[in-house]
Amino acid sequence: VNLAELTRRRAEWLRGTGPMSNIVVSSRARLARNLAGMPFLGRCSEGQLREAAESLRRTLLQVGLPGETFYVDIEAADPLDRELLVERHLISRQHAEAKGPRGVAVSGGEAVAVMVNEEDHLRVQVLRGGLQLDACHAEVRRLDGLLEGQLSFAFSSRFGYLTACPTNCGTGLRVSVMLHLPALKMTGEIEKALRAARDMHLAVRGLYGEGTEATGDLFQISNQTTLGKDEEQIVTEFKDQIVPNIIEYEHRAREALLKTRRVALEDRISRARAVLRSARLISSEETMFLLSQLRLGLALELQDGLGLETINELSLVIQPAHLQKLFGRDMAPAERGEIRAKLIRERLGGLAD
Amino acid sequence: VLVPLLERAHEGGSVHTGKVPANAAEDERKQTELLRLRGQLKEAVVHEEYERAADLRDRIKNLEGS
Repeated sequence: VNLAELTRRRAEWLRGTGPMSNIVVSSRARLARNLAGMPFLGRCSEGQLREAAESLRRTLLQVGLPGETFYVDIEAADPLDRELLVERHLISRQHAEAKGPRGVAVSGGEAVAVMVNEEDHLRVQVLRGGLQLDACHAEVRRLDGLLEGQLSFAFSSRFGYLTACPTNCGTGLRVSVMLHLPALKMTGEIEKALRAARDMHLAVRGLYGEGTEATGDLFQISNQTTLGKDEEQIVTEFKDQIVPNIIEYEHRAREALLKTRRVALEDRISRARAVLRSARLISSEETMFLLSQLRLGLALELQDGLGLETINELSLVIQPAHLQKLFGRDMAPAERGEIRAKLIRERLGGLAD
Repeated sequence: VLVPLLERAHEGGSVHTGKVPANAAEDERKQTELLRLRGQLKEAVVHEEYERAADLRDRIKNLEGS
């Protein structure tokens, strides 16, 4: 596949039609799996890494992943393609920047991504728009079954599925949500909420996962415990207790802002709109920051003439690799700023004041 | 050594209670066997016992394929 194609496609999660999508941007479930009888990646020779990558590539292409499946050899891919995959949440930043034989299989309109030789031999991910943790988990479990029909995974009856890092062993299951929390940020309650989340053994990360900053008020929250609880318990606790609580905090903060600081809120949103529609140079950080205000405006019905899909798509295509792929050439940051501003003006041109 | 570390990482949990692979018992036996054979293969190569290495390699391939 020509990866530039991806910039013109819409992954399912971008549509913004899932449940609770005014706060929950996307849901994800991922499994960590390792091949039985093969050392963990850190202890593999170059030859074994290559052997694992090659045999997993073959398996993934014929195991019957949903829909059209393509495989990208990350080692051979150019840096811009790798960056594009990171921006689309199909591989981790670590996977993009690592060395050695590795890849990713993508299928189901980008709802499924299986990383090969990341930290574990396999990382199976299912990503959907809105709050859809059950659907993500059901699908990842189904894929695990498919793969198990052809591969044997390292497993111990005591420690469960064995993983390179002991923090993932047991079920190997991590579920996460990407949350838009602008009101908690504005009211200054975000630190308290995130501290509470960490106390409940959750990991809080930025937009692009481990080691990234939260941009555009987007926070990724996931479970840390993978051993000692079964899959149902992990998913149920996360989706019935943890996520609804954070959603409720954000809702309350939004209500409070509407009640006590409505004009200030409207002012922020219309300034954001004005800057986006008139800027001649803009960075991706600033764009994400301003889009966050528009996203909030949309959720609070203070902004018309714009769909969540447009905001989701814009947040993606303004990223550096997307811009360069979209225009088919390498650009220095200054030029990107100009092209980015132009693209935003075009896309938001018809927006009502 | 690992158990206290696991308990700290997993809210006190150190025993798996989740999903078990459909062919788990079979798998565990096979895994142990594969690890043993790979160890022997390494040794055979070090000692330049190429005939034995070739035989071990075939047995590993067989077992992986089954």
